[in-house]
Amino acid sequence: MIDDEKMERDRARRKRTNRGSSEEVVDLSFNPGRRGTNEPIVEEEIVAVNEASTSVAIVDLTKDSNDSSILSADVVDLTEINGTEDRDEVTPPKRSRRRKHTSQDMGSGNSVVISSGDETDDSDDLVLLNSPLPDEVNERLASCKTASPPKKIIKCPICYDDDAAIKASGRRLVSTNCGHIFCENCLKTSISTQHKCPTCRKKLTMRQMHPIFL
Amino acid sequence: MSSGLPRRIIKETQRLMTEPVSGISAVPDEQNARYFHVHIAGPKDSPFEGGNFKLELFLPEDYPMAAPKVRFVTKIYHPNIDKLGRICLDILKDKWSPALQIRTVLLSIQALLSAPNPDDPLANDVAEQWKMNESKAIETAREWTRVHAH
Repeated sequence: MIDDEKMERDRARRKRTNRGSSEEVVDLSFNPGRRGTNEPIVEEEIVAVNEASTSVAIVDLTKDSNDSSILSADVVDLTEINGTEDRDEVTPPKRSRRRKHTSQDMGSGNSVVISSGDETDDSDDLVLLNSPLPDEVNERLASCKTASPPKKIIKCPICYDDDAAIKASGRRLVSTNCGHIFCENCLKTSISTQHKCPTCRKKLTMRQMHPIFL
Repeated sequence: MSSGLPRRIIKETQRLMTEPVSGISAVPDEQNARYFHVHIAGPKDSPFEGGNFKLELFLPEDYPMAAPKVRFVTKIYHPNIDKLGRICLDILKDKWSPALQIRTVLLSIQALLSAPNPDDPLANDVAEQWKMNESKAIETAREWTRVHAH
């Protein structure tokens, strides 16, 4: 499962970025934190509480990390992982970048991996913000636009004639009090045999209907 | 009314042909367009799975104001279907509505195969067996399916 997701995401990312695809592949294989968490922020907090001595860690993770020399390489690494997860969702990129640069300054043992990830991070952030989201939104908008107008065809659910055919043959469209639409003839016949709405089975009399004009 | 086939029946028949329901086929008779040869596949995870059940469906003169008449031709061991293949199903009787159609009726029958209801029996002996010893009843239903429904 997780591996499949990973593969898909990797593929998608390769398509999106125009440059440096080989670099990315290296980056991906290195990075352990790619397993998709949906809420990077929550993850950050949990890490802060569990791993590091509380107050310092929180300051470090959420704000500036200038005073973080106390922290071990492990903690720096974890923030880095969060950074890569951030990439999957769209989050403000500025904060994570700043964090990464300071972590490089620390010169921990992991800095090589981190820096290589860093570069693709930035490019990915840009690409993500520019291309895929608007596409999805556009698709949805487009489907909304195309889906609504054809639904305007109104059919009598009994004789299956549409409103044009009903009007053309001199019949009227009627609505029941419960809001269901039929052609006048069908509804009258139906009420006279069953005394209820054909659609919802609510009790109906001949008076509980009215013509509608569309 | 007797002047040819109502347009609704023609439309329904066309749609049954162009957009068939999975596991269900309904073909109008060549001689009589109100008479349909129906086949329903036994639903998955029911004692009727693997069976192919033949039914006949007839649209009476006052259809859709009156319900279609449907009957199992294939022998079936089911508490709501009797020896003659008659089906105990509310929408075929008092719960019929002209807004229902052949398609929805056949879907309901397919669902009835998945959910036998021995508390509202038509075949009393079968229903009794179903309530007394359900696993044995299901085994009998499987057996009948193997023997009769293919």
